[in-house]
Amino acid sequence: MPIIVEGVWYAYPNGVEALRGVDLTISDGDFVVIMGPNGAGKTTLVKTFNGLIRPTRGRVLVDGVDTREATVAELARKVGLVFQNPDHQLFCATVEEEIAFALRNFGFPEEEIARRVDWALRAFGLEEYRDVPPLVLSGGEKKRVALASILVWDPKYLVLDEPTLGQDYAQKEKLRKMVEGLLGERSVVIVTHDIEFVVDFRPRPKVVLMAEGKVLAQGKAEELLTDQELLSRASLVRPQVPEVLYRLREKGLDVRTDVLDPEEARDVIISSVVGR
Amino acid sequence: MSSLLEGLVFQKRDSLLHRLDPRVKLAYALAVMVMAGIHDSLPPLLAMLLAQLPLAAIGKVMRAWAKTLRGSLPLVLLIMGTNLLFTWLQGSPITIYVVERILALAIRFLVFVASFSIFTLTTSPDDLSLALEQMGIPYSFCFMFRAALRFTPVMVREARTTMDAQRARGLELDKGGPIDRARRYIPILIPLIVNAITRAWSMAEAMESRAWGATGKRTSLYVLRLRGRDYLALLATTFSLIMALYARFYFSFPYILPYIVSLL
Repeated sequence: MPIIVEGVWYAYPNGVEALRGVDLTISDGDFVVIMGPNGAGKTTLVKTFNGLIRPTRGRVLVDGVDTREATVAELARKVGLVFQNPDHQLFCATVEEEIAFALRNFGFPEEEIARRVDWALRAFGLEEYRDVPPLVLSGGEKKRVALASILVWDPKYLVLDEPTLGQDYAQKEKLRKMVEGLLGERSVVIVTHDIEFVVDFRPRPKVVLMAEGKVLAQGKAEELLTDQELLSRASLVRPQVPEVLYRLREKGLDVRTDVLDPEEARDVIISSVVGR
Repeated sequence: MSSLLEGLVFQKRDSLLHRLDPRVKLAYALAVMVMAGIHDSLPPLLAMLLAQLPLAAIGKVMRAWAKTLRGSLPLVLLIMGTNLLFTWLQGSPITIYVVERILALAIRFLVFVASFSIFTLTTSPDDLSLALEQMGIPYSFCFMFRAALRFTPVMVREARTTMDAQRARGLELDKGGPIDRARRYIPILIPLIVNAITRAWSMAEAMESRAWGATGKRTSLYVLRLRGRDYLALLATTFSLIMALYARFYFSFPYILPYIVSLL
């Protein structure tokens, strides 16, 4: 059963229309990246998945349940949403308690909580910080605690809002490996501006481009992220690999430009040169 | 509650009230506070409340003003409820006179809200800070005041995000009894307070790196000067204050509620 977003409109109480007729389906095991400029409605959209935002028009179905008919807590059991800034959620005296927080809210039995927290601490390399207050950790560590505190209840849909914000390359790399490890069993949705982060994923995600509260386009990363017109409407900079190919084309070399992979680009260039 | 806060935020308009000297408006708000504070019977308090109405109209802030009053209704009901409860707990009978006194207390609160909201709606925080400064209050206090006003909307936004983040982790905010419910706000309050302190630190650093407080004596680009209309407004305020004082000591107001009830 998927998450189905049907003709969703949403206006904030101050009158700003953040979503203007969005249709989207997140199927089981899907890997979707939502991209677009600031104010495109990306965060608002993912907040409709767990009922934090209820559409003013249209509806959102999570595994067949209309989000208007369920509480946020019930929906959160299935949809784990990790917020941009861990400082908005970390409050416990120790990392261990922080990670157990949601499990207690959901009423897991204590031995189950202990088992899952141990797993999460190990999976995120946080064992040495078990008894440390999360507030004293570094930015990257805080992000990991926040992520662990969501993944610990094993939500069917995992949604990450701007996970790479303020992370250095090594941390991004680690995050990407981790997300890649989660794919398959779960659906993963990532909201981001970081186009190179998206391009490096194997397998590549399905891309949803948003602007002004609407979905501009959705489809394969290779098609959407190499389309100059779409990219500029979504205020994104073309990834480096197609950029190189475009410039070669400008110089008269007859190469395909819908390529994101460096090795594939190499072969495209070689075959175009040798083939001539 | 949020609409109550909304109604206290400055609204940029072109009106007589907006052009008045902020010090005069402050004097007015304080004078109304004194007037309402010394009276405890319904007729004068009702009159004071009604007297705010034309002022809100002159200031062209009617809608936001009405919204503030509406937003304060839960607090008014709370005041009336607790008073009724304690009267009943003391074992005194709840007569129509008691009800009128309690109603007067509630109206007094509304007068406070009404006059202060007219003041804050028509006075920009910058003007207010300037007024305080030129009344001789140390600049650091004025700045503190201005920063507090400036960061209120930021805090409100932050509180909303934090609530969303915790609800996304299964926290149910509106379940259980009052004590349980208050306890559920701990996961909201801690991040909010920690972030406020962090922000204050980084703001202090940013200010110091721009040489805040380098000179003891500050000059102002704008210097406040009372004009004719300011003197007139001040005169009217003083007159009302004297009238209110006079009425308080030389006049006793009748109960009006029994009369209204007998009419029905």
